[in-house]
Amino acid sequence: MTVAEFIILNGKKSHKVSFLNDDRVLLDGKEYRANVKMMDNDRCSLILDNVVYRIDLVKLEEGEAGVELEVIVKGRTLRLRPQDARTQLLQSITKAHAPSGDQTTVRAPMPGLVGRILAVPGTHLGAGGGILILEAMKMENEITCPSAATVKEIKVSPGQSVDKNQILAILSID
Amino acid sequence: MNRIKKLLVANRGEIAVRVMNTCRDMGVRTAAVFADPDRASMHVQAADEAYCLEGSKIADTYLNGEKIVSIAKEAGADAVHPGYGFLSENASFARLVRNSGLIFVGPPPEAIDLLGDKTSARSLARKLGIPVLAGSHAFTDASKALKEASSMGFPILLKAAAGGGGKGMRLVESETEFPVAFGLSSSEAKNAFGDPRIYLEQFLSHPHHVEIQVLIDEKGNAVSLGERDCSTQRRHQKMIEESPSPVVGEELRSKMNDEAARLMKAAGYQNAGTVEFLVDKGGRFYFLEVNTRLQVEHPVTEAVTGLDLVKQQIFIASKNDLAFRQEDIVRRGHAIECRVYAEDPSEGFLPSVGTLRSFEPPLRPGVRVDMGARAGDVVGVYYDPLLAKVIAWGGSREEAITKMIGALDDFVVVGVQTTIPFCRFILNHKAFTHGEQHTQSIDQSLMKQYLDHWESDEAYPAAIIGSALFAMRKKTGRPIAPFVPNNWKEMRKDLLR
Repeated sequence: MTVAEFIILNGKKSHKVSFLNDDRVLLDGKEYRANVKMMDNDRCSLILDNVVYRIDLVKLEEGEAGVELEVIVKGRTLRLRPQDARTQLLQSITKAHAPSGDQTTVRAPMPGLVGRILAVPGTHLGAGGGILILEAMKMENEITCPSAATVKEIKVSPGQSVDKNQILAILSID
Repeated sequence: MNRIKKLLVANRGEIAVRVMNTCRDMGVRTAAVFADPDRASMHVQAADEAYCLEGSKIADTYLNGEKIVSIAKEAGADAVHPGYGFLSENASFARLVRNSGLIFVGPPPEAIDLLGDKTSARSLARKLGIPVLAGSHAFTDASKALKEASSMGFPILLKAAAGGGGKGMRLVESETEFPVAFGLSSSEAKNAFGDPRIYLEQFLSHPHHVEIQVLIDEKGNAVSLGERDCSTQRRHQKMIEESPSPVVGEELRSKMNDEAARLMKAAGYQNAGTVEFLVDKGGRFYFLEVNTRLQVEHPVTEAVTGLDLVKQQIFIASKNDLAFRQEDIVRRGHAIECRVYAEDPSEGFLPSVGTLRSFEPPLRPGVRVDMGARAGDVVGVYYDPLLAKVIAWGGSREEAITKMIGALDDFVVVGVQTTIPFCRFILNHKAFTHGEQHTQSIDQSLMKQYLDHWESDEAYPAAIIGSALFAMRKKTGRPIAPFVPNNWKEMRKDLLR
């Protein structure tokens, strides 16, 4: 009997995890015998087919798309979005595909100080083209264009401190 | 005899802690300096005394030589240790320390002037008949530099004239990339070393980076401690270092040892310093530069020679002769170092900031961890993101690699992304286990393989199931009682309620 079922999203990949009776678990149909002991709220010991893992979890963000977790196991880290299987089914029915807009925002990947602006509004850039410089930890990081686009607006100015995820620029994708 | 009774460490992070540890071993009292954001940092707690530098900008604090020297005098210190980075390769700072009647634990300012300037170091090497790659003098003007670059031919390497550590270093493939790259390098060099000058160097394909550690006393007795191979780099930032080098045999080692010692003697060098070379596929070596300071990767040499290099620095700075000669140096086994940076390998190694919720270094025989941070610390954007270095020693290279992988598996860092998973990936990769890593392998091919490798990993199912457990627990909202068996049989009761 299935106790609970979850869909785990790893980027574009998705995995189905079903918890069964008697400490059995199915991962994409493959059965494992599992024993879990929570150590505290975000740490557990998992014995999977007698192999011991310590798993640390960090909740990165919680939003419309559900919770995003960072999972740390044996020196590896992975960002995952677990979703309740039923919720996901509902979402897929009610939510049509998001319209593919032609505008995209460029956000600060980390807090820092805006250095030089490399591309003024109106500039056309190829994928990887430099938009501006963000200084953090003594290093100058070039913030680049994800794909070919025209710079519509630069939302920051040199010398300004920005927070993580703050909008830096608006691009119009080719 | 050690004349130093109190030493001020003009640095922060793991290197400040590491220097203080040796001071404690030697009965030397330590004084820390700290910028405002560092009040709670580990190096402050590790010191006997601490003095606030008042400010948060690097230029007002760790790069403010005058402030640091006046604090050293106020503290009654006899000596200043610069660590690496910051003012460590700044001749004016060394001069200021010396002129204030304090001991600078490092080379004389004249030697820093000569060797710290990469272009004058290269001419000295050339004069001594040590092979050197083709290079230019230093430029501040991009258009003049471009003219020189075009005549040398692309690809070409840009390097900061005033310092190392990969800061300001860039590979430029073509003329069109040159102006932007030069601007970035120059401002990075200015921020890191206070000197915007950039020089150009011929680019060698697939070399190993091999450097020789030298100790040299006031009388000019020089001892070379053999090599470190630092070929595992990403964009010229070293990530993994080892000794011995998989491409250096006894004959090449002894030749490189001799040349390094010869160069340092000719430069009037004293204290610990490193001569860097590139070794090509044919086993030919080319002088690269001298690092006139203690290096990040020095513990690798300590592990195979049994020497404490900071202790040797303090002895030499106290005007002692070296207590051993070249023939006394016995190297044992193999050592590897991995650098744990707060950077996210899956996001192009962007700095990762946050609070260290867990920080549990591996503890076991043969593994050393030099740390500058602890659980609860906030990793911010102000400084170099090096959190810790893991050094593993084994009887053979294979043993050291295996030990390092085990140590990294057990090093738990929660709260920021680190380079641990990337180092682990490299150590398992055949390019590394076969000793074929070169300075360009990560940028050219390994990075892409890294991003794809996770799903075939043995721990992947555990990560997926772990995240599902979290989701299930969140759904039941069941509180966790410690020491009570707590598997999902019990969670199920909540779910079915």
